[in-house]
Amino acid sequence: MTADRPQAAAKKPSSPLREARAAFARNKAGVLGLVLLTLVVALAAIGPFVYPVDPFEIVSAPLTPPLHDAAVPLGSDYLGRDLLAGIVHGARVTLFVGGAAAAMTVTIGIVIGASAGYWGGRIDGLLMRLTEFFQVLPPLLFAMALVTLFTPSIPIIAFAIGLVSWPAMARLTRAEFLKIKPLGYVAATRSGGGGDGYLIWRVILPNAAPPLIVSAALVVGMAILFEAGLSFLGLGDPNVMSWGLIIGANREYIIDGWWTVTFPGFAVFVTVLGLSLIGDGLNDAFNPNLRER
Amino acid sequence: MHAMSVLGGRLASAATLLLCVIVLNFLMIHVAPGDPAAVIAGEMGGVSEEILAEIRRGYGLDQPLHVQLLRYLGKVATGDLGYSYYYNVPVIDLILERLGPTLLLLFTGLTFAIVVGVLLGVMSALKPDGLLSHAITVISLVGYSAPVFWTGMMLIIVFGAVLPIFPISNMRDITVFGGPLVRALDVAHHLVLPAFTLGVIYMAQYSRLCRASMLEVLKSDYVRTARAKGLSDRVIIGKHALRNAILPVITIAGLQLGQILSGSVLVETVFNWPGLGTLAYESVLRRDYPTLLGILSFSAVMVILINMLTDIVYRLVDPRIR
Amino acid sequence: MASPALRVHDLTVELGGVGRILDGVSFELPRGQTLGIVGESGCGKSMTALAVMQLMPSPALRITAGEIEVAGESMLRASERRRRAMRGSELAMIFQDPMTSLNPLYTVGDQIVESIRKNEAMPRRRAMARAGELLGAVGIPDPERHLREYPHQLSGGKRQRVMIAMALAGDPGLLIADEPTTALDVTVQAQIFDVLRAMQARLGTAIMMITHDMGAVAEMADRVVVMYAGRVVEEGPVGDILTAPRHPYTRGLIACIPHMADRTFDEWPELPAIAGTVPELADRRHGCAFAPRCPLADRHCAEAAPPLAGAPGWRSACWKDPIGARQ
Repeated sequence: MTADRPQAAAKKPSSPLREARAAFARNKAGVLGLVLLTLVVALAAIGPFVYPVDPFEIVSAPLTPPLHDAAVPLGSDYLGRDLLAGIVHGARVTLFVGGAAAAMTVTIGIVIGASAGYWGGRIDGLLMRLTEFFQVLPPLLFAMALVTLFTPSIPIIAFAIGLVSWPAMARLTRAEFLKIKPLGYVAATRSGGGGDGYLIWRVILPNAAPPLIVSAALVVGMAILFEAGLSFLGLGDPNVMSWGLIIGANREYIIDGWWTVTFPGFAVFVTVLGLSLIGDGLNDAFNPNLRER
Repeated sequence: MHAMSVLGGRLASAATLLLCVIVLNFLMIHVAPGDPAAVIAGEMGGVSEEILAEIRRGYGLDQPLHVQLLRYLGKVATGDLGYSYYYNVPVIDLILERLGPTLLLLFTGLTFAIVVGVLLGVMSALKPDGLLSHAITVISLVGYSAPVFWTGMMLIIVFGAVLPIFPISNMRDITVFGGPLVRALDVAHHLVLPAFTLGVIYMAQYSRLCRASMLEVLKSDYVRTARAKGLSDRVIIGKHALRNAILPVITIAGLQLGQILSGSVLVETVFNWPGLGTLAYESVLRRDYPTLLGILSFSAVMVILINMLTDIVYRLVDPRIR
Repeated sequence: MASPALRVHDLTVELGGVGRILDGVSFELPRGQTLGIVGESGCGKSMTALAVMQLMPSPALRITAGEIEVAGESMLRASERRRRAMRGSELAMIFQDPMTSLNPLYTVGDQIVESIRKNEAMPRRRAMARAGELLGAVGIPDPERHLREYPHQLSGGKRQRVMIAMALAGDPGLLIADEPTTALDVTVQAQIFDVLRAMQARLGTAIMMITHDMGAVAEMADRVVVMYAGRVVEEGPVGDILTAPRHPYTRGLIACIPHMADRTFDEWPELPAIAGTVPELADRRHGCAFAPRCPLADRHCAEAAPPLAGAPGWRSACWKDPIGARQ
């Protein structure tokens, strides 16, 4: 009896958020994802200080293989630039563009999806037509056209990625709003005098948050892939070193210098994998009953 | 007659979408910084004043904007997607010339993704905790996270340097001579790596999706009924369960079409596959805007058409929404 | 002389590590008769049906003792191949929800034809004609048209008729009906019962009807098996049990039939409708499982489980039973 008591006292009242956090902590894949992402973020934050080599400077013979020259531990690219420096400095650009584009995707998606789901009727019809329209345009081609017309620079690239990626987010938000809007507590808040803005932002959106958060994690990963793809096609900002840029620049030398594309691509892969794992972990944490299957 | 009205609605909305795509194209040319005539000519350096004047006249760039738009619409309606000043041919001719290889790649990659994906999904659903189930989860996660062009390049390294059994570039070998069958086999041989690269991500996704829906369906009442009827496992799984389990795969594949087409741009570029994707890549390098925008419009049309096709397929499979 | 349509003897089903879902269930169903199996949900009725069909929903459920014989043939000792052959031809089953029990993607005709051809090789065209006859026999007008329709185009009552037609396609000696009318309107319920009775008269099919509704039993059954928490608590002819139930649980169930609620029984004081719910599998202890909810229970009831006792033909498992347990 007495042995039970401290345990019972230590048990905090459970909230959905705390339960989700605990469930996430138990999810090994999710934690692995968090570790991977933390590593990449750390690389972006302190890497350039620890390894202050200019990624554009030619420091060795072209296409030096890895572990052959102490000056270029991961080898050099077709011009003789340090690959490690490129990867270290590219982390910032990649994360920045990914983050900015994802922020834009999520913002447009939520605003359009929430408006469509909340007001319904003609507004819904119009906004869904718009969404359909954007879904018909192959996103990469659309972004290619935008970036080509407006000259490649970091803000334009982030903007283009955001502009072409939001439809899925909007659909998801709309679906969640349609699900939550008819629920009792929404009507109760409304009859209690809650305005539209209050209902959308303070009542429905917080309740729709779990799937949107999961999807936001995936959107960041997708934006990073997108940026890498554009840079690979030669549409990155030529003045800033990014992982995609390294791959695109060296693609002709792939057989003679496998490392020039393998390492930066692997960096992209690890980053996106981290985000996907986090997304999966969050999904499991938010839907405990799905996990049992 | 219900089906006809549904089809009519579809066509109307497809036409609207198409109109929007064209207007968007028009706007992009005009909103872009610089002289629209120069944009249309492409930044190939030193376009002669005569060509610019000709473009201004041809596009009516001296006219008010709405007149220009109407004129532009009229041209697109007659299949005129503009003129590539780089290649000196109408854009539509360029596109049609490159359409075949892209469709071949797309069709092969998608068929591979759906057929193998569904097969693996069903197999793993029959053993939910088996090795295959876990393998599919891992492949799907890895495939999703790896940039598709990088996957392609890794394959090029493997099959170009280590194990040269598949060609890593182009669509055919110009040294191969022979009848249609020989040439078709040559193309098929070249198709293996690009189609695999394009399809493998979706294969993993669809197998995961199919596995989940199959598990759901296997618990359903009608599968229990089929068992109670004394049907064999082959009929229960192959007839009653499978068809229901494929429905979500069709839906998702239809929705992802634009995305898959985007992926094919990268895959084509990596493998020098002579399709619309490499054309788009080349026109980016050459700042050949009419071609790039023409490809964008044309791809949108393709997505719209294939979406309608998906819709029809779905209706054939599921009588409930006929 | 001939073996009964169904004989279940001492059937015990265990959920791995948790406990017994069914515990020594025994009953017989003579050919051509109807047996009602009653009890609340969670009593093991549906599990009994699925055990007879050998369609256990989970590999964690195992039959650890007992025997199931369909027309004298053991279901437990039969090979899976033989069981598959028996399903549809020796025994068949219809389910609670006819909407979800039919495959939404195939026509009614297609699904019936499948049953017919499974039991008897014949050209599709002939099987389709046969399916039309079956639909007519279960009272569906214009069978030709309905054969070409999909389940979602039919009403609930028609869907259940389709299920019956499908189940009877192989002319089985035993039909298991698991809550066949629960999902349907009351008026439709009466029609489905009519169809079942008519088909029974025509084909001589024995029916094992599972229900929570004593009223349905009163209307359909010759004999009743009352189940509670995985055990048979009373078993006997429907007339006797309805007039003089010997187990308090049976009494409670009868009190739920609207027009019987006012009846009093001489032997026992007035019992209200049963309060509480069936205990979870993990919460079952020794002693009578019904004791916690039973107004008559005393300490003895909580300590030892009463055996099923009485003359063969009408037995009950209750320490307070004036006839059975006193012997």
